[in-house]
Amino acid sequence: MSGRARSARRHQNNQELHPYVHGTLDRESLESLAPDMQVDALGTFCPEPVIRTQNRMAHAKPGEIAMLLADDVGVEIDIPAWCLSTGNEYLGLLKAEVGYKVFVRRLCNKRPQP
Amino acid sequence: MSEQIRALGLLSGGLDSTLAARVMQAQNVEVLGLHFSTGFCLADRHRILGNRSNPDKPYRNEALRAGADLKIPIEIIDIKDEYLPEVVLNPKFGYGSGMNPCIDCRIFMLQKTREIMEERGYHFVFTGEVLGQRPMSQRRPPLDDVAEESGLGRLLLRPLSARLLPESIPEERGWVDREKLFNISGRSRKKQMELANHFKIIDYPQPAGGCCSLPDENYARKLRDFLAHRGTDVTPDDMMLLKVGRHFRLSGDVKMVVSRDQGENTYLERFTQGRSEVWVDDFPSPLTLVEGQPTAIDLETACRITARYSDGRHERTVPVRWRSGESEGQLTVVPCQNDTELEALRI
Repeated sequence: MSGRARSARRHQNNQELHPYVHGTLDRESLESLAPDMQVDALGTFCPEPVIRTQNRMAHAKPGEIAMLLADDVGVEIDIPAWCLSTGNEYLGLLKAEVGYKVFVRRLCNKRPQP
Repeated sequence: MSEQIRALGLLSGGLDSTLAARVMQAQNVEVLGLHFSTGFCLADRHRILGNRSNPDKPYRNEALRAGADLKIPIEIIDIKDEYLPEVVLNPKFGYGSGMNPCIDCRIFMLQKTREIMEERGYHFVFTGEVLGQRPMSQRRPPLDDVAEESGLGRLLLRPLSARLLPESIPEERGWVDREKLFNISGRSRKKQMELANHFKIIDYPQPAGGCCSLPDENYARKLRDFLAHRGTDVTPDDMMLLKVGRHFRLSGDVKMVVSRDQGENTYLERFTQGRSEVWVDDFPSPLTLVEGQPTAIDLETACRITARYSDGRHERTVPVRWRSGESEGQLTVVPCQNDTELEALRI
């Protein structure tokens, strides 16, 4: 294994989950969810995963669930914050083979939506 | 029933913009916070490279944090593609201390905000600007220029300094109460901190003199070098690469970027398309990207410099790997030990 690969792997191992806001669903429920849409932000950095989520959710109906695929470790704090700010529901996050799967439910509310 | 007044606010998540939004909320104004992503945000750079002191704790996006705390929806607007050619490369009002076109930047963002205001039927726009706080963009003449050139004119409200400025339309029409706005000016943040205490806003980033890479002397030097050699044929990826690593110009159009740590290694991995890669297999090593068409001499220099920054720097010779498109190979080189040679190449 090259020095370069060793460096990159050490970095990945440090990326443990950091609980900022807990989702409303437990792990088991998240694993059995059937999302209505998928947002692929793999390979992108902040704020791109949030931008893609917000743009996709702008066209979602109340109750619909989006699953964000992302490998930017920041999504674990950005998406809950975005949900708190916009009044959408943060369901939770699963570690995936590559990065994370983050689940968000569109809620019907009176706040102005982006 | 009176009409609900709705306003758009520029929200960076810093103390001033957070306070401005909170002041509007206190006057029962419905607020949507806009956060513009220019590609030059220092916070984005920190986020990309990770938190070196605490890797388990990623840097947060302050605009989203402020939105979450105040329950104000935040919309992030991606302006990277337009921002570079229209603002950074062609600023009507010139640059500040680095390559920072602060006045043009404000105008551009507020023009975009005005368009959104008109499309979606918002009443006015506000910002957290404070009179006299920044030497380039927050003096009185630039504040007037920004309002005028953005097309917002008197529809632009600066709640923190409003009572030091002419009455705006939101005040004149009674959408907001001028008496409940503020007369803050200057560089001190004391009054803002008192106001934050009043509103029980306790979690905000410490004022750090700006949130943009462009005023930074080192970044500006790399950007000027880039423009001098590549003209205006610039992509957002090129700009992203200027944010990290040690940069060396090997010859006219050939330049190398050497990562400084694990975070930058991971970051550079994403920019290998169209660039040559150089690294050391036998020791922990930086990843080096080479741009342009390197000659054999350029490639050898890139290998020597990469070896110098690897853990094999004190070895007599180091085998260095390289890959360029479909081709790859290995050169055994003497690590560069000559600081004068290195500094002559450093951008």
